[in-house]
Amino acid sequence: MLKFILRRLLLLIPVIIGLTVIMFAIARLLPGDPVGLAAGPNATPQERAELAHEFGLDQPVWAQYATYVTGLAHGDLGRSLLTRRPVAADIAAYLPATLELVLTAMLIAVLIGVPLGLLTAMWRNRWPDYLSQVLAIGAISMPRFFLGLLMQLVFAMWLAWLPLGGQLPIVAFPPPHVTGFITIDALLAGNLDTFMVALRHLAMPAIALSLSPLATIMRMMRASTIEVMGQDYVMTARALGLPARKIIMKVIGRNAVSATLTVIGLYFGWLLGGTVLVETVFDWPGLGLYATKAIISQDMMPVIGVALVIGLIFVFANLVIDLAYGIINPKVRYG
Amino acid sequence: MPHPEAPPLLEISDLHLTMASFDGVAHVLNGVDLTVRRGEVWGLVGESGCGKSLTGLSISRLVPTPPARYPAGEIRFNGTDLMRLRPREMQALRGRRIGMIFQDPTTNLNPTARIGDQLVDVALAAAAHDPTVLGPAPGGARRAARALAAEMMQRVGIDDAAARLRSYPHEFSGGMRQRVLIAMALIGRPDLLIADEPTTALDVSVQAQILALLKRLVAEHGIGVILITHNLAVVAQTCSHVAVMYAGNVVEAAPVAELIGAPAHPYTRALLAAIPTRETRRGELRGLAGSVPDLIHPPPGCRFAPRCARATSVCQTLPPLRPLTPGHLVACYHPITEPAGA
Amino acid sequence: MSEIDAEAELPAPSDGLARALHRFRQSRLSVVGAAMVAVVLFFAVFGQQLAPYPEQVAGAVDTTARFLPPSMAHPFGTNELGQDVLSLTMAGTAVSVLAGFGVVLIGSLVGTLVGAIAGFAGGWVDEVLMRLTDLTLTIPSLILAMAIAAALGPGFQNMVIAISVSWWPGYARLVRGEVLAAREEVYVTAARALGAIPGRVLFRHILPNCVSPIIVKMSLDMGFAILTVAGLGFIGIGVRPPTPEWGAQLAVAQAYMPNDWWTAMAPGMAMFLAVFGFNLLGDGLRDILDPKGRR
Repeated sequence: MLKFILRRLLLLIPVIIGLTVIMFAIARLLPGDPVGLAAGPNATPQERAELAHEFGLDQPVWAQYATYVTGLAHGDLGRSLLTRRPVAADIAAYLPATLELVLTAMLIAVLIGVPLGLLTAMWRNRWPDYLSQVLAIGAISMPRFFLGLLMQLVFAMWLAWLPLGGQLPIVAFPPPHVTGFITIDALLAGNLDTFMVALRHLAMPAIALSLSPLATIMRMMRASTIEVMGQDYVMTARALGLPARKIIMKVIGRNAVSATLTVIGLYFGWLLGGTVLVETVFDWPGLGLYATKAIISQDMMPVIGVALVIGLIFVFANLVIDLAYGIINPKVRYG
Repeated sequence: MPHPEAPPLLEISDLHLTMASFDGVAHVLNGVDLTVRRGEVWGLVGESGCGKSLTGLSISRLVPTPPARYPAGEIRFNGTDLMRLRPREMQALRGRRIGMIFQDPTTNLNPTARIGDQLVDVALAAAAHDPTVLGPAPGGARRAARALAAEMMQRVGIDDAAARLRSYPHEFSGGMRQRVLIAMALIGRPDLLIADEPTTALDVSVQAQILALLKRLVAEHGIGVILITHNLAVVAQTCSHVAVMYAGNVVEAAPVAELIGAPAHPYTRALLAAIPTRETRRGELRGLAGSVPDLIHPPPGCRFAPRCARATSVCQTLPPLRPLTPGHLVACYHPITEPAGA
Repeated sequence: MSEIDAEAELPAPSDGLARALHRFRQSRLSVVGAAMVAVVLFFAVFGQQLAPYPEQVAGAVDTTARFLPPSMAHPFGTNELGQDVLSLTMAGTAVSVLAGFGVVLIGSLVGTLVGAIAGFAGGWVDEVLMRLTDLTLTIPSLILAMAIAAALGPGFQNMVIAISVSWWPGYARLVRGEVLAAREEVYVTAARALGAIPGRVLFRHILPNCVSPIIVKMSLDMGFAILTVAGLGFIGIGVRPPTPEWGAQLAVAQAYMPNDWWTAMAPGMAMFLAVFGFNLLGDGLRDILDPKGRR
């Protein structure tokens, strides 16, 4: 088991190199004028040259790359032209918000999707099943940002039940920083009021983000449960008198969940990169918003940094999923 | 050891089963009659599609009843008609009074659960309806169940039973898995065991061991067994009685020696005649013209009549299964009475 | 040099087509999906001509008619420039659908090529190509598309190219898997034994048998491609005004909520219905062409 983990970790190095090469290629070899955009329309040529030199943009591409990679070894991800801060610091500031959003969305998706999938499989081909199928396809088809807008309209503007956006009201003090997750930090500080407020801010973006993975997890769970239900050993279990409830939980549930794990892993990575739109709509201070602003300003260091970080998290998540899979399904154990 | 005076353990009378399919309604079982007593090992033989598996499944009421229907018939188990039981009552019987073994040991065990757990589950389920299964359980039901599981594993011939309880199915060979399935089927101490092709998926050498095991267990426990197979060699080795099925009917039922020595039904004759030696595996109808009837539009009366050289107009009505000689039942208007030729 | 044509052994396609159509009609959802897609395609082609206010589609504004609520003259109201929202939405269909097609087409072509070569050639070619594919997959696709689109500059083609770059790896993986499996099939060995050169084996024998999973994926991808295109428009990358685009319309609408909320309805609903239709259709196609491949 340990060798397996080590091997996968070692593979990270070529991944990092590959990622950075690709992103650098995109950043530097494509047309664009990041310096001009950052300096502003009124900057003198000298100011622009100074800016370019300060950020190393006047160097040849391969030299910039070399600087970047050596910086990487020290955890330095370059500096953002826009915020003038080190990218690593920016990412550390914005990553927890995105993680909070994504993890909450995944939690909602799993907690509702898995049991729904089980239920629709057991009642398959009756009308609740058909309805849920159509709703699932509808959920996947709904554009997240339109849904976000609609939710804002109905719940924030018309009903005033939930706040419009942001992680906390502007006047609120964030709780002492432990994890960066406002909700958890508020709990840890024993500040229940802040926790509730933060939860209400989290509600709409998390729900908007969760709809698509929820639908997919439900469908996958349904499909794998149906497949397991048709297996011979379920028949044997029934033939030997095992009560229906027990069969379902032990035999079906376990086997079906292991197949859904892979889907969860895939969606986690996809969501991480896909929070852009929801963060934009709800003004959520996360990586997506950060990367978007950087992209529009053609400020490439943050983009490379964000892509790198998300890519690494994705690879890690896959590793964890593979390990979890091995625990649940003993045939796939790694020696 | 047959006990002719014991009351019948299982009595199937005139069982009809239809199944809805894309092309119409298939009359799969056409009035099956079968009686099994304690201590008897009945081989239920016939070609694929003759309904033998469905008969076995019907006893345990495992055939899903939307596409299937039972328009007529009774299945009396120790006097109780199973067809009239409610689902919970039926479930109480499964595993505890009626055990089943299926064909493929690879797919019939849950791959993600340990062998011991699977055995324990069956034992606990049976004990829920009948505490005598576990006996006095000083350390709790689970403990007693584990002990029982280890004991059963040993009885079916798996060494080092206590340690093997923690293994997963894929760590066992095919033969051992089948032994485990037998253990699972018997752990509830059922009165009736239905084995559907239990050795077809196994190597020849392992087959012999499994069959010997079955015979021994039958002798030890005094249970009744229905062994469903298309392999007459298996039947000859292991069974005390044989019932031959053709297209949804039992056409002949007799003690094994008598059936092989003096087959009365033309189909049985042809079946046996097609076996040149005892080592042949499949009962092919070599030399018999025609094919198995279409179950959606079956011939009226005796379903073998279209292929039978002895058929006359009276065969247009279904011949009842009745005794030719005591203990030897035939469903035919023109049974063959000479003993089997060389 | 006559080569015995192995295709004579393959089942006649017309038989399978009739059966497939029959099964398609059985599934009501697929038929509904097909109908919706037909409507969407209709608007994609004729939307611009049929729009009630075509001059506004081209860019004309009417500042006297700003933010009119829905009425007979303007069923979905007007936007901040006084333009009829319905007309803009109808005309925007073309952009989204065409862009979606472009992305899926380019992505599938490139991906199929890469996957086929990788699967067939094997060895280090396979390794290199697959590493490249995996790397592209590791980069978050939306960010990748956005970055390339922003770097290339605004415009329809640039946007399509940018999104396609994040799209092809899925096809590469799929096709590689199919080619790897097909390579072991008997008919390949037979063709090669008869002297067929590898390229011909690949293109005439292996690839045609991989077509159905590719088609299934393409149809399922259309919806997401449209969503991605709209997403880029929402951020402000991609096509520029006055070209109407659903995502851009929504972005503007957000600024004017809640008072003039109707400006968001038409483009949003259009987006949803278009994607919904394609997804229903794609699901139906998958059930027909690839019933075991529920992914």
